[in-house]
Amino acid sequence: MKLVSFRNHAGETRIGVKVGDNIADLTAGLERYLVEEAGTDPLCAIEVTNERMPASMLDLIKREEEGQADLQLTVSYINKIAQKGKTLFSPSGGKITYGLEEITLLTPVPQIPRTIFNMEYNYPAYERVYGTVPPDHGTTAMFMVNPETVTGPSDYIVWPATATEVASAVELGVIIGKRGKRIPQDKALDYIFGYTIVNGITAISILRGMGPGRHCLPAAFYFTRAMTMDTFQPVGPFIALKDEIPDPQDVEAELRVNGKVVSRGNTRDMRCSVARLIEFLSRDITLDAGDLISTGAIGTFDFPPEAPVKVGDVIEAEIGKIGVLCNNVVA
Amino acid sequence: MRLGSFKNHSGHVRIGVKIDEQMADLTAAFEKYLVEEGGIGRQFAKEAANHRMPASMLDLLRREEEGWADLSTVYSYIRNTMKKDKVLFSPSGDKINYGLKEVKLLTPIPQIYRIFDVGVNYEILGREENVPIPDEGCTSMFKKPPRCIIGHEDEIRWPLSAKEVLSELELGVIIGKKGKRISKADALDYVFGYVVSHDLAVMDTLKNANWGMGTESLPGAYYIDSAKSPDTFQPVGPFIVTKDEIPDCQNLNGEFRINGVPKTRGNTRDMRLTVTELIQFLSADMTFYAGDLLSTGGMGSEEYSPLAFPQPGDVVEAELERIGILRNYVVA
Repeated sequence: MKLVSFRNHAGETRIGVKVGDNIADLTAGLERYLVEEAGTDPLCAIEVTNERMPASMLDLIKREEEGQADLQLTVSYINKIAQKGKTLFSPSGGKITYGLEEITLLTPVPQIPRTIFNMEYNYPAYERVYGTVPPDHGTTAMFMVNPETVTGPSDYIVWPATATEVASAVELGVIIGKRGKRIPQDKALDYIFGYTIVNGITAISILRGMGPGRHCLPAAFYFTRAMTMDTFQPVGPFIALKDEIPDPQDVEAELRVNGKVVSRGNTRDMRCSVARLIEFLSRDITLDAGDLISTGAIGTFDFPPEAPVKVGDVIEAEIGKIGVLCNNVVA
Repeated sequence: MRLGSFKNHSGHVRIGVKIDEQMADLTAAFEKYLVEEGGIGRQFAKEAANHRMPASMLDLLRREEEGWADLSTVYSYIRNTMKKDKVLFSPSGDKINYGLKEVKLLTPIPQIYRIFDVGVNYEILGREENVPIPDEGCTSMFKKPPRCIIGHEDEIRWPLSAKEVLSELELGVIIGKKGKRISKADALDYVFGYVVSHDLAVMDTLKNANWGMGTESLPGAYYIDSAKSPDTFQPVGPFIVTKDEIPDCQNLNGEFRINGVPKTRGNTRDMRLTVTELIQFLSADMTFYAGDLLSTGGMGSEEYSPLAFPQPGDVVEAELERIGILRNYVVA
């Protein structure tokens, strides 16, 4: 199952599921289900639906298990009634099915507040390509960015005023589905709502140019500022639920700049697995439903994890099982 | 004005202003003002008050100039109306004035989720931590997640990952207006007020990872956000003191005490980057929003180190001149 947030013809933000090449509005879909299959009074159905399948993805995710149960119910109903070439409506007249060309895809969780954890140096390629000192075993570097930094598919990455070099990286994004703390590795996957693609942008010149040389002043000191510049974290276009990705440690990824492959790798090379990252982070930090963990720039020795980009470039971050996230760099 | 958030007798989160030893509920007071002075019908006043003087401090701050105008109006109204031994109510029956002991004071902006902490902004801190001082005009910045934030008299929970915890006393700046590429000259226009900010970090995480070893990527700094992010690791409060009460934020004495013993002393005049320079520096490529917290770095002096190490069972007090005392309890 692949979920989206989108803007419909009326300019409203909605949540949807991908059905073939179409998008079905989940809120309208549940409303129809309630009336047609559950015998709910049409007058009550809208209110019940807004509560159980809110048009805000963050609110849905925060319903945790109950929200996920309603999601399963709605999607199997939509799959049952969906017919090619036929537009469906809810009892109150809301459109259910849209062609992709009729809507604008947004980042899958456009709402705030939520916490964005960016993990770094989580692939051994860093040591081999850049000579980076590896983090301690079982740990990795973490920096947070503002949730407002997150943008969506087709949004622009705006070149910063204070940087001369900017790099892009493809990362597997993990969306937390349940609040938790001190989550052991063997339970960690239960806390995942789904997976998405992150294009992690970093102003790499900031890491170098702000202190007395790399040998003394830790580049990592400036990481947070270098990553939380406006527009620096495109995320999307879909959230693939766990049925699509049963094993997050076997996901192929590729980053292309102007069509040319610059980074490539597989999540099996992660130093800390997704489950270990959740255990590591949640030791002293409460993770909330809707939080995003970006699990580190993916790459290999031959296709390094960080790709320099410049104004005018078109960046495509692809994770086969999720989709392609495309963004342009503008001045 | 000393503004705070509090939980009232029915458990609702409200915003208030401290007047003498009382808290005045700003939303309820504004409702009363609208009816008695603004000529607004009783039936509309509550809704208007909820909108213009919302019970969420973050929502109020996000109203920027309009919120400030309403705040000034309601403050002068309620200051003149409130009497010592008389309980006032809004037209719809909400209690306006509370004794300070009747309410549970919360952190001033419980809804906050954008927290920026600055590192190495006093030279003494760099020396004591053995960290090189950044270039002139630059400094490091870290973020903390929202669950770090607690208020006055709340408990700091000892993290699972720590044997040693570091406390730093900092001046916290509350942003009052959205902006980007803010010049130093304009920066004070973007400040709403000030708070006492207590920045904690897990030292073990940083030390075990060779903090200060000086290798190329210095693993210690890999963990700076992790080390500073445990739940409850940034007490903030007790009130927001609006900037009109602080004529010069670069001349404030601070003292940090553990069980009453002074550990850290400093003055904000020793900041490497002043408040206005920090706003200019950080807003170059990142938008600030009203309600953001910018914690301006651990203070200290030669005689009183910027580094203090509390233990479970300790009572810690962070005090800044003109702003207040923020007291917290470290629990295992």
